[in-house]
Amino acid sequence: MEKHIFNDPAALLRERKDIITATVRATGAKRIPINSMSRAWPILDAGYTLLEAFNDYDKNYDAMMRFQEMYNFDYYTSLTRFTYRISEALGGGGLIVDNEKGSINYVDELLLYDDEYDDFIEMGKDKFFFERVLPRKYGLGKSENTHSALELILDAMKEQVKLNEANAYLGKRFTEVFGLPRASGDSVFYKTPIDLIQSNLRGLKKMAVDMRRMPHETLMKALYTSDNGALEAALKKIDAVDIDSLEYGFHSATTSTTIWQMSAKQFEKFDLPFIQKFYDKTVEKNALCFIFPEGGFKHLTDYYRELPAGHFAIFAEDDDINLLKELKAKLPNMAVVGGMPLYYLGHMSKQQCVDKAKEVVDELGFDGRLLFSTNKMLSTKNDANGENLRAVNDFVHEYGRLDK
Amino acid sequence: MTSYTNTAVWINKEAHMSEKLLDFDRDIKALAEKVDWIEGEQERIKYVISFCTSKASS
Repeated sequence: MEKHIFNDPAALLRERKDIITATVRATGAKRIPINSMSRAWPILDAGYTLLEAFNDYDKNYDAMMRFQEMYNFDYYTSLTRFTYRISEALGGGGLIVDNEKGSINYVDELLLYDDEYDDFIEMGKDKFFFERVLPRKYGLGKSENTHSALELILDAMKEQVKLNEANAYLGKRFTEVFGLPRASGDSVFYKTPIDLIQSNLRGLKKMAVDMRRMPHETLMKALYTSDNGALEAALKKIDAVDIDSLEYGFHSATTSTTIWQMSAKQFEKFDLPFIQKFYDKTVEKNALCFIFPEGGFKHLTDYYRELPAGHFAIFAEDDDINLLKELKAKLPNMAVVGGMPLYYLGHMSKQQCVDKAKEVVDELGFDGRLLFSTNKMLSTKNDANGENLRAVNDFVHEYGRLDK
Repeated sequence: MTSYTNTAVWINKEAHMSEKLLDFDRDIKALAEKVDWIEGEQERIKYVISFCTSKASS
């Protein structure tokens, strides 16, 4: 495959900024933007092993630059970078890397024990996390560690500095070389406290029980403890964002609202007190927000349809065109991100992939409220055949023109 | 791997671990003293707390 040529990154940046904004605001985008939903796949596609790229930021950079040169996305919900070296500096923990298979698994950990909610609330997040969660998560103090916990933490902080520098450089080069605006975690990112407790402290099963059995007041106190000022900080960041700058794509929010995790009633009780303020600020600032609901959210469409139009794009994991059409009809106030079943890219022929992409554009894209994307993250090598991905993106760049 | 010998907290590893491995009030300050790439004591403390909290929750 030949590389794409990016002759005029400044013009591309303007165009990409315009089509993203016009799609979310439904003001007549010239073409359908293509979103990259990728994690480890670009590394593997570039011929590196996961550990090669995790341990060498030049290789990660090379893989990411190649990824854009080959597949030409319009924006990235996240740039591929892994905190592996930081975890390792701390003694390992949190993720399991199978370098041979090219797969990563995140451990669903219990780091806040059943009888510790009161301690968590009383100690506050920073102290509790430092004294109890950090040692548990990384096994600090294990007999095989020849360095003290503080030495390990300091080394990890130094690794973080290196990663930050590598990330900043990659983001800068993505804008300079390819004309890509920043999106998602590169601008403002907010994760609701119930999502934080569930994904980082209690795990899915325990959290489901907590929401049903724990006294409401205790759980709410724990949520405010977990938020720890993050909401206020995110609101200030939205205030500070220059939404007219070309580099600003949009900011993002993550909530764990899948049907089996959280009912509509639980969403109202535990998520809404936080996320509503984030959405209100987005509207007040006339900004754009990418909502990543981490799963199905059909049970919440009544809520989402009440959000003011022109500010939100929501990621939909459905791979059924009819379900997506139904969803778009229920949410005329926002754009939908998704449409392309990842399964096709890894398992079907190039022609079948292009046919599917055409169907997605025909059925979902011509109203100008679709940000074309795979419905799942590109993670493992078998998730996609590079030629299929290239064919689909090239096709959507041409066929997805809305100014014809 | 970094090595330290000039602070009681770092040297006295055994005693340190026999009480509790990490003590927020004592150790955050000790760590902040080593963060020489950030200007200002308060900023260093904020940086260390923010790093440790985010690593515990990511």
